[in-house]
Amino acid sequence: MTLAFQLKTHVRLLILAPENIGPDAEEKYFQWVDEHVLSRIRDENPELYSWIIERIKEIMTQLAEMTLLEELE
Amino acid sequence: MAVLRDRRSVLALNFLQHFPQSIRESLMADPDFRSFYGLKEYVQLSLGEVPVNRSELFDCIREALADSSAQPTLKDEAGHEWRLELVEIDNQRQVRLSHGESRLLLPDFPALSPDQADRIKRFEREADDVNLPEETTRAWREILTSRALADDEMWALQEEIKETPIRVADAIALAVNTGKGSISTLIPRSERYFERLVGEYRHGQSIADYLQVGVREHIDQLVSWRAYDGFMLSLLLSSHSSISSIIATDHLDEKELIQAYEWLQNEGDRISQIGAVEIGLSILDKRPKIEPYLESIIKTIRDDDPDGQNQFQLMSSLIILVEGELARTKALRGKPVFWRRLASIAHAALIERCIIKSNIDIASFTRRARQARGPLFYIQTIVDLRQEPRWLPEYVLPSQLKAELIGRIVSTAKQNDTKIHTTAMRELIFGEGPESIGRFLKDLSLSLPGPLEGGLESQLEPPAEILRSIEEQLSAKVLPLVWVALGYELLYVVACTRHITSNP
Repeated sequence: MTLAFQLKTHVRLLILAPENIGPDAEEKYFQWVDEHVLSRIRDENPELYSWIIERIKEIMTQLAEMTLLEELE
Repeated sequence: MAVLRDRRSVLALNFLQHFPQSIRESLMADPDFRSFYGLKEYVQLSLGEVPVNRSELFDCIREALADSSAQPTLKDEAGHEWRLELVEIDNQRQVRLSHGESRLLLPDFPALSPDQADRIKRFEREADDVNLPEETTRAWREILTSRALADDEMWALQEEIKETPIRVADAIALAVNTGKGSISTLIPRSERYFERLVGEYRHGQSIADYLQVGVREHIDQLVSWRAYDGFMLSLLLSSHSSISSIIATDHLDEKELIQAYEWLQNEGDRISQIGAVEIGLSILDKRPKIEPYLESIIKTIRDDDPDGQNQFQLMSSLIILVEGELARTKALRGKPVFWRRLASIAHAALIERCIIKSNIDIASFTRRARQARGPLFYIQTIVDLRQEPRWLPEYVLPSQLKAELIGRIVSTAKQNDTKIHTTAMRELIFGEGPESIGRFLKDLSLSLPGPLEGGLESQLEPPAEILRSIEEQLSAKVLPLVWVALGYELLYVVACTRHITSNP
C-alpha cells in the first residue's frame, strides 16, 4: 500500500463526521477539519484536494441515484 | 423530469450538509456540479463585517447600473436590509450601501453594466493601469464588447486584475501598513502573478536563453507600457548582472532618471539598488548627473552592517520567507530552479519596498519570517542542489548577500573603467583606503556564485593566493586533513541552519 493511498484513505475518513454526535459537535468537528486538515491540503497539495472533491462528487452521484431508484420503486 | 431534477436538488443540498464548509464551497463553486443538481450558485461575500450573497449583490448592482435613479434593496445574511445606490465621489462612480447609520462603499463593477461603451472604456483604463498582458486584455475585451459579465466571470476578471504586480504591491502595502496581513497575503500562490512579475518561462529554455530572450522581451514590454513605471518594475529583476545590463534608460528623460535614482537612494530595495548602480556605471559618461545618487547608494550598501538590523537582514529574511512559502505551496513546481529564484527574489524585493516605507518593526519581522519558513527554505535549497549545485543555503545569509553586491559593483566598475572620471567615485570603488569598497576585495565570499548561478560554471576566479593554497593542500594528499575539513564543513552547515531558522 503506497503512502499516497494511505493518506487519501485517512483524509477520506476525516472529512466525514462520526455518526450520532449531534449537530453542535458536528459543526465543531467540521470547523476543526477545515482549519487543521483541509486548508493545509488545499494550500500544499492541490492535487489531493481536487481528488477529494472528485471522490465526493462520485459518492454523491451514487447516493442520489440509489435514493431516487428506491423512491421510484 | 422537472420533478426528478427538483428531488435531486433537494438530495444534493441534504448531502452537502454532511461535509465541512470548505468542501461545500468547493463543490458549489463548480458550474458542472451546480448544473447537474440544478442548484443556484451561492457564494457568500464579506463586505467589511457584513456577509452578503454575491449573486444578490451583483443583481442589485446591475439594476442600479441600468437605471442610475434605482435604489434596490439587498438583504444581508442576518436579514438586515441595505439600500444600494450609485454615488459620485471625487469624480468616481461608486456603489453605496446604507443601513440606518451604517454606510459601505464599494467599487461600481462596470463590467456588469448594460452599457457597452461604459464597460469597454473602464476595462481598458484598468487593464492599462495594471499592465494586463495584451492577450488577456484582448480575450476580456471580446466578451465585454458582446455583453455584460456573469457572476463567475466578474469574479474571474477581478482575480485576473488582482494577480498583477501593481495590485499585489498594493495589497502588500495595505497588509504591512495595517498589520493585518498573513504570509498568504504577502506571497501569492499564483503562477500567473510570478510570470507577470519576471516574464514567462518557455519550456526547455536554459538560463542563458532565458536571460537573453525571455527577460529581454519582458523588460521591453514593461518599458513600452510606461517608461518610468516599467523601469522601476524592471529593476526588481536585478538579481543577476546580465539582467541589469539589458535594462535601457534611453526612454527616460533626465528629470525622470534623476527622480528614479533619488527614489532608489531613499526608498529602494537592495536588488533594485544594485541594478541601478550597474546601469548607472555603464551610462555615467552620458548621464553624469546621476553620479551623486550612485555614490550615495554605493555608500549605503558599503555601510549596511549585515550583522545589525539593517536592509541586508531584511532582504535575506524575505528571500527565505518567499522561497520557503513557495516550497510549501508548490506554486512554481515544474519551473527550473533559476527561474523560481529570479521570481522569488524579485517578489522579495517588492515586499522590501513596501516594508521600507512602513513603520514596521524590522527586527521582529525578520525573526518571525526566518522562524516561519527557514526550515522549508533550507530543505528546498538542499533539494535544488541536484540541479544547481553551486548555490548553498547559507549563501542567503546577509553577509554573503552583501559580498555578492559588492562584487558586482566592482566587476561592473572595472568593465566601465573609462566612464568613471571623478576622483571621489574612483576612490570609493577602486581605492584602498578605509572608505573604499576595494577593502572587501580580498574576501573569498566575493567569488562565490550568486543565487541564479547555481547551475553555471564559475564566472570569477577566486583570489590567486587562496587558489594556490587550496591546490597545494589538495596535492599534498594528507588524508587526515580532508577529514578535518569535512568535519568543519558539517559544523558549518549545522551553524548556518541554526542561523537561517533562528534569530538574526
